[in-house]
Amino acid sequence: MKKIILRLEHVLIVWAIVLGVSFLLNGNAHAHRVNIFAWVEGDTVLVECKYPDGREVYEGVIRVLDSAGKELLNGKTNAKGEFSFKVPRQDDLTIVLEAGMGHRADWPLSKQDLAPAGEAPKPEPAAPSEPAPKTEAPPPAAKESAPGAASPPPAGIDPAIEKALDKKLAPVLRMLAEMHEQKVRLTDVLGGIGYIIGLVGVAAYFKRKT
Amino acid sequence: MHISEGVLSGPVLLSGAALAAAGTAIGLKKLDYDQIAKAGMLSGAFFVASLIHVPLGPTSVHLIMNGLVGLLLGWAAFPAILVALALQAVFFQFGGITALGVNTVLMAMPAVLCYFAFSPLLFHRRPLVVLAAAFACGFFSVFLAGVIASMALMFTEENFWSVAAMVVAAHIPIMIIEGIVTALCVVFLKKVQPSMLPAYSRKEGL
Repeated sequence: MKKIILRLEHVLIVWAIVLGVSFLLNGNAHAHRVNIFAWVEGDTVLVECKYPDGREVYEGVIRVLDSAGKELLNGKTNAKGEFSFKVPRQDDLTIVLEAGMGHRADWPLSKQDLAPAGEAPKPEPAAPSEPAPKTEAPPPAAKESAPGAASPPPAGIDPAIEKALDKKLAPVLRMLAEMHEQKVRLTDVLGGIGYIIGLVGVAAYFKRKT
Repeated sequence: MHISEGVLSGPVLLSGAALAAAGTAIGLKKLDYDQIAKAGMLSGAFFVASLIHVPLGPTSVHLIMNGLVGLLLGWAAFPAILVALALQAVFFQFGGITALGVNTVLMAMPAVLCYFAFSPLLFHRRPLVVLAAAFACGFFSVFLAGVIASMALMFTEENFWSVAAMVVAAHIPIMIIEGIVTALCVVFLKKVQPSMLPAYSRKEGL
């Protein structure tokens, strides 16, 4: 009896060591997954590819497919795991990352996301057709702005706004990309081990000597 | 070297699933009551082993441990690895549910083959032979997994040899590390828990 207990202890020690080591290294866990995130800046699509541990996917193959699944272009990510391309066509694109040996991820990019500043539907000439201010005595400010609005908007303002917005939004998109990445978490590891222990119980129940 | 979802074609996925089901059935049949706890522990070890990464130059590789699982479990490696892979797919998104069958085969098949090839040598008189057998078990289980992965990828990617060469070359470091880890485990188990090793009862009988 004593011998059996001793042996059980050994087994538990080995197990504890394995678990301990895995948790120590958990932060750097290199995994069988790749993350891809893409966003549009002006007429360029930027793609960022990472492994779940934050390492960049170097030389990952990027394929850009249109809505019919036809390949429009392809390329490889650089050392920072990035890839960029000019919007090839106004279509629902799918960006596929193949990081080799079965690693694959994709990211859909809809038509609306792509609409570049230049080709965006021209803002309707709303200003002139706008109902005149109902107040009988419009404030002078409005009066002054009215002629400005009535005249066609100076060319280049829209792209400029788009550009500024893209610039401002870039960090936000990056943050979203990071949140989108799924990392290995301790709760998952513990949950998985719990499942295995439970299955051992089930197996033991069905295989018990009656 | 889990294969992700959406990489393989339907027939490959289906045949992988069929093979995995057959292997699991045999494994469950051969799994007797005394082995259940061992199978569970090894399944757990396999489940977390993929998270243990070994820094290696600029990059890193992670343990697979299918050799050790196979060596200690034999056919029961199939259900143990299937369970661990299913949980990895659910929790970590490694591989994927549709690719589960293929991944199970590519991990468990080499494990079983290595069990039959190397377990008879574990209680050889000469310790060097034992060490070599354990090392080879870890080494070849990863090597064969790479070969099977290439065979699965062959139908969707380029030709077999280039894929196989790439997969195997990329895994040479992990083959060596697995070999060392497996050898250490066998030496350790022989000292503290020899009954966990296969062929132990055979040796007792002599």
